[in-house]
Amino acid sequence: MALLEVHDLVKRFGGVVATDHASLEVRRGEVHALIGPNGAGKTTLMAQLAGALRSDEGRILFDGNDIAALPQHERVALGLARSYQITSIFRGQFSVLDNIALAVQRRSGSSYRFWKPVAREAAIEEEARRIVRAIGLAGFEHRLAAALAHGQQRHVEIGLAMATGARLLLLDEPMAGVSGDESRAMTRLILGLKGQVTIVLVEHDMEAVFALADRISVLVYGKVIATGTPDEIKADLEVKRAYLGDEAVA
Amino acid sequence: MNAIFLLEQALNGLQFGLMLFLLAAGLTLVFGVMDFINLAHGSLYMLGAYMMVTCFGVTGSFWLALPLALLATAAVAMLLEVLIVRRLYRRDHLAQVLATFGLILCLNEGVRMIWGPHQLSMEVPAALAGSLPVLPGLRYSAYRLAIIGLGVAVAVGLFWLVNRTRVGMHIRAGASNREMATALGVDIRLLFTLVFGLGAALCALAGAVLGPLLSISVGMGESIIILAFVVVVIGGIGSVRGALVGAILVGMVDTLGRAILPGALRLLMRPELADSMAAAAASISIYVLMAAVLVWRPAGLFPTRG
Amino acid sequence: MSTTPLPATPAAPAAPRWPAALTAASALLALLFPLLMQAIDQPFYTGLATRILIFAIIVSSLNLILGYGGMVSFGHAAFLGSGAYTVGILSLEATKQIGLLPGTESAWIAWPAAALASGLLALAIGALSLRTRGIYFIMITLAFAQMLYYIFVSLKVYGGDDGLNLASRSHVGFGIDLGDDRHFYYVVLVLFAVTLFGMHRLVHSRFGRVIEGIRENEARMQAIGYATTRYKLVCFALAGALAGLGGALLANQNLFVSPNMMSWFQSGSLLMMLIVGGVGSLWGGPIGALVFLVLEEVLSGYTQRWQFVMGAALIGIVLFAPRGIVGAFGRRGS
Repeated sequence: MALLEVHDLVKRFGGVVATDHASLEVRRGEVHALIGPNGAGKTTLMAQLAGALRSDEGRILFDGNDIAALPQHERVALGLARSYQITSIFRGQFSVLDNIALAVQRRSGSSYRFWKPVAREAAIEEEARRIVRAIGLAGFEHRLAAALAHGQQRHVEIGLAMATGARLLLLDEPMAGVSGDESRAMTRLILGLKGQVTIVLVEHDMEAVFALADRISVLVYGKVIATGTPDEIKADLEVKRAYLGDEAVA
Repeated sequence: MNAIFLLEQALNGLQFGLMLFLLAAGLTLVFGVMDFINLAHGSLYMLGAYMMVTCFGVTGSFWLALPLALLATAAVAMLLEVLIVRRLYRRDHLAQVLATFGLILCLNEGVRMIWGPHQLSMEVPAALAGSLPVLPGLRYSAYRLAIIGLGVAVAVGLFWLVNRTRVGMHIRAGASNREMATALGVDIRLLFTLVFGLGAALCALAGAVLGPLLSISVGMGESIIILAFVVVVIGGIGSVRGALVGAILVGMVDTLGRAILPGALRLLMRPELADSMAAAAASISIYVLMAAVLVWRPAGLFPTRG
Repeated sequence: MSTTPLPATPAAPAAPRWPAALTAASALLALLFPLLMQAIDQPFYTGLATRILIFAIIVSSLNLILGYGGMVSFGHAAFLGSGAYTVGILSLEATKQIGLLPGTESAWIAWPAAALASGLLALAIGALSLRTRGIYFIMITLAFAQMLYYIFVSLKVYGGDDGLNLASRSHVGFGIDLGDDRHFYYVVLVLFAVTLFGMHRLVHSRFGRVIEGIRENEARMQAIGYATTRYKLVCFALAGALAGLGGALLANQNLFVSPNMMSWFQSGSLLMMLIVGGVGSLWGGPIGALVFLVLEEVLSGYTQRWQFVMGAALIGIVLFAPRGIVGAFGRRGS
């Protein structure tokens, strides 16, 4: 059984149909990339899967359960978490470790505890440090997250999603604004997650997509027009037409 | 309780509502265009009333004093805008609330220093001193009727300004998207100062005109500013139409509530208790209205922003 | 798998913390204050100091929701007032037997009752208000405080506009007589210390981290699995309860309660004290209360125009020193 099944999802904004009966199937353990031209509605689809947007029609099955009516925070509890295209981490006085620890804290018991200092909870700190190492920021634990370079902040961005303990990660353009060495570092990070978690990856960086994806779905005007392995998609005429126009295919 | 009584109260509610509209319109424009919360808006209303008393004392003519008072208050307001207010546009709402709260303290004390701590009063102009037959059996104060007329005229004038003129277009553009308006070449600083001045003039008009009906004292601004905020919230920030609908709604609910509730509650319980409860219920009626509107429509009835 | 970390901009250098000697001296002063005042025959200042401590508690409760939680409430005085009136009404019922409620003058019952009543009120108001955001939240909290104000103005049986006098301060027993200003001062001092310590623990606890996370980035908190509204509501209720306790103490201090305790002017004053002291830092409440009340005392002695000076000072602070006194001298020490 697929971990995530999306059946005929529809989302309208006034007169615009942003998601037009999109259907998708994500298998356990795979990295499933979601690509498409600008304006195809990829982020809107991700937002609906995560629960930040309520769909108008359609079903979303996670591990067999219909989650379309669940609010975002409840989906995280079930094991579905998201990272953002525009970095949305905890700034101000929050360090890198503070960021990750916040996500770890949620899955290790109730946060309605008012007296004991979190700093004394070794389990949370240990797990947070492990994740900070995993995202390649060892040594930066106590840096203010807001003071990091953009590329490093993107790592924290992914780290937050990872730290929720989710089985399915929705990564929205993790490479956004990142290039060269940093994007290779990010690719290695995601490769490291392969097999342990299932990933839906929205990306424009085709090099990364073909390096990472087991399967690819192509979204055009809110509809999935093709799904297949990277080789199949490369060869697909419809996809070529969508990206490059009719002349390129003829 | 009879139909005549109710009608009279309804007219009072309309009059009150239209005056609230004058305050709320300025407030909602300032909110909508500059994203600025001005707690001191009521103080400008108070200033308008005081200016009116002085201008009347100097000129001896109600009709000369009125425009003078408006101009004087608008001038003070625009000075404050240039010196203080415009530094706050980029700040968060808490900063604006606190700074304008400080402004209230300063303006209140300033008025006390200039005009003294005692209540002032003003006479209704002779031409409007009588009453007119509105319906068979109902004579209504000519002055109050004039106020209603004035309120309607201002409403029409504002709608024309906002919806049919170039300046109005700039205002509406600024209200829905400040950055875009700047990018399109609108002179934002001047626009902001003018909008602030316009809001002040509307307040001053309300204050000057209501002077003969209410007592003119320091602190008269505080009691009415909350009502104006309630109106703006109900109507939707940035919407003049919302301010009008909200103001009339609030004016009616408040006035009719105070008129009807004591009688209604006396049917149900002892007179002293009924009066207490009625007074409480009437006072909180508009807040209940606001809370209800917000629960149903969290951005007001006619929100201009998404 | 590890990457070579790219160099990041260095973290801001830590600003100097409060020197320990200053803290020790202040603590000593606080402990000996009433005795000192008695020695120089100025017992009035003991009352002033008590008042400062009470407001330190109340403004700290506002700090909890505003500084740490990011919720700008313009109706916090409602909870101060409800706490004060709980004590006032219970006292009135005990001494005059109006007959609407059972009465008591015992602090052991009245003070927790005040905190409970205010906490429940905050729960109710919060449940409705937290559906809104930004300016609407400010307005709706203001509106609820106004509602409460008008309700108490109309309750003639409990004093209405004129307010209510308390026959005496609450009874504590154990040889403590709150009617003696010195005893009252020490009781309040203890409660203040407990409050501050409790807030310190709260801020560093799991709950405190969540609240600060919500303030910093509520959307992301939901995205990592927190039901943020529920946490904000609990925070709001806790703050309300604490303000209620402060209100109970204030009622005792003045032996008088009136609807003015819940006026929007009072809410504004609380905000003013907080911003003077420093929003979001542990000592912001106490320092703000100290500076504000001392200034008010000094200025009103000099001039009838002290409100003008207050107003100008507030504008000045907002424009030029928005992080308040704590912000000017040190990092947010919590």
